[in-house]
Amino acid sequence: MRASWMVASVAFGAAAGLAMPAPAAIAAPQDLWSGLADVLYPHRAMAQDGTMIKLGTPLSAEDAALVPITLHIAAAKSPTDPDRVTKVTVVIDNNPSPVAAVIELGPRAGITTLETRVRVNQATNIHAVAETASGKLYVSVSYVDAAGGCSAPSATNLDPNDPQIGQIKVRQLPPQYVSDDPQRKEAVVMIKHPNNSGMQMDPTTHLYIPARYVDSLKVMQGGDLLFAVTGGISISEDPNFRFDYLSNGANVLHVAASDITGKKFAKDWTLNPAI
Amino acid sequence: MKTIARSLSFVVAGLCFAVGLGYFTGRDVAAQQIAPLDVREIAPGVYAHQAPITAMDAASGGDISNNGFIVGDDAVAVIDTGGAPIIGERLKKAIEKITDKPIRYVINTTEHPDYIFGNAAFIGPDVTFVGHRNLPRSMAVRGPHYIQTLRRDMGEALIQGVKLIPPTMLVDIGKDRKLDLGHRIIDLRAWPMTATDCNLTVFDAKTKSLFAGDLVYLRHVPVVDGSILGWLEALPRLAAIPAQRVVPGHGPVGADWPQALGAEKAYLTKLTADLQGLLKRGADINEAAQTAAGSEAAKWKLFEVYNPRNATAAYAELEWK
Repeated sequence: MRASWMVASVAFGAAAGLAMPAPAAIAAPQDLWSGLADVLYPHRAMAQDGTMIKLGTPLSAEDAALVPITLHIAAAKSPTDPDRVTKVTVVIDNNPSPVAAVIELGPRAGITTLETRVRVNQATNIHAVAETASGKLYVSVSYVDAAGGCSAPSATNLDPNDPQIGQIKVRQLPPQYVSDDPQRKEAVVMIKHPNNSGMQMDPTTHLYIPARYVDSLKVMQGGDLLFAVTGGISISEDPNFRFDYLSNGANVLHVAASDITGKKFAKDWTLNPAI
Repeated sequence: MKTIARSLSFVVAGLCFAVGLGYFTGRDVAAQQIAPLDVREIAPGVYAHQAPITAMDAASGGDISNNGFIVGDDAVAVIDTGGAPIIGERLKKAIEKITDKPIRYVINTTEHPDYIFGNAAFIGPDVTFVGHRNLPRSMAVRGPHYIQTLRRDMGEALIQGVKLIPPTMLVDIGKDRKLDLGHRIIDLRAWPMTATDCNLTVFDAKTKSLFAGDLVYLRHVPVVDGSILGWLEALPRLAAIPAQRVVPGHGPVGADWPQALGAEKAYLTKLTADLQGLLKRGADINEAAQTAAGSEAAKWKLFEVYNPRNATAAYAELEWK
């Protein structure tokens, strides 16, 4: 029973999200991870030694709609390093659609830190699973307590017809937090988007809000992939990714995204070489 | 049993009573058990309940935000209903003690559970629920989650009778709505995205009394659940309302107007300025949540609960500017 629910959630995250199920009776977070891991990575061993991936979260979700999570990823020695982390999957165990994001990392990106923001429906473990080029898996887990009172993960302040939807912005950050390496840069990629899970016809309000979320995002520097995200409804409104990377000298970041309605958004962001 | 007269077990209990005592109806039994909410007449015909400044939990029982009512010659308008059906019942009891005029309107000034969870107590054929144009959407999107989390935080007994009742009389932004209570016209104004996306204020011109809901916080740290910039932008227009006293959403009722806006404005201004500084130098959202507006801490209750949340949400908003 539980397994079939998880398969459905994992495989059809969109559908699970659409249903926005009436919240089940609240309980202490259950240990769903072993079941989720079986579905996502059947019969594969996972090391949990803090070497390749470390997940950072706040102890408690201050705002259920916006919980910052940070992936600390071991630096690769070279693009062909067999221990290079090629993919990180973020799983929010107790969310209706647990797989929040699958993030592919470019071979020459040099990303060691990637921060994004997620919705957390209730107290939950969050798992980050890193996969290396040689096919090894590493996992890191962090527990996030639920937000209280007036905080709701489904909060969206963006009108579904807002003309700003799809707007893309890049922030280049001063490198003081990163390293002394002049090649190492840090940036934030932001997309204006409600990223909502949708809602079925409500019998009292007769409201119907169609699901609309960003399911794909790709960020390139020149011709090199920095990272690509396959995402779902657990990513917060206005998807936001802050990351460090090794500059390849290109002066443009290409950002391309699309949402489940098929709408595409793109922006070529000219970088300020002085930053 | 004390929470809702409508629950089946209660009706059964009420019938047993009726049989046992001969004439009591379930309603009478309920009425006996419910203590009226403590209300104060802050101006002739204008009554307000001042709730303690505390969290929504079992201990507070959902009595954490102010509410009140205005009595006209013909009818009563209720403004907000508390954070549990029992609080709504107690408010209704307080009204019945003061007047026998019928309750015609129940106005919700925002979507938050501490303002709307008492609504069920007022359901009736002659009662119209009134709210901001955006309130039905916000209620629908967030309401089920509020019920879920507050069932955890407050306990099933307090939450079980909660009904999400979308308003059928809506107020549009830029188009005030007047309600005639009988020789007493109250003015309802819908605000753009400020504290939330569905804030409403109620102004009684006769006594120059303003019910401001969550647009005004006193002592309880303001909660930014809409737009910090929108809220700051709205403050001069709010201050221009020719009121003499205000019932804030939280804090002392009947406070002087517009002086009551001072502390809130200082907080929102400081939080904005700190976040702009943090963003400029590249600080991340976690650092912002821990440090922004820290100098305001001593001035507010529940600061450690809501300030990190405010800083988090406002950082995300200001990052786009």
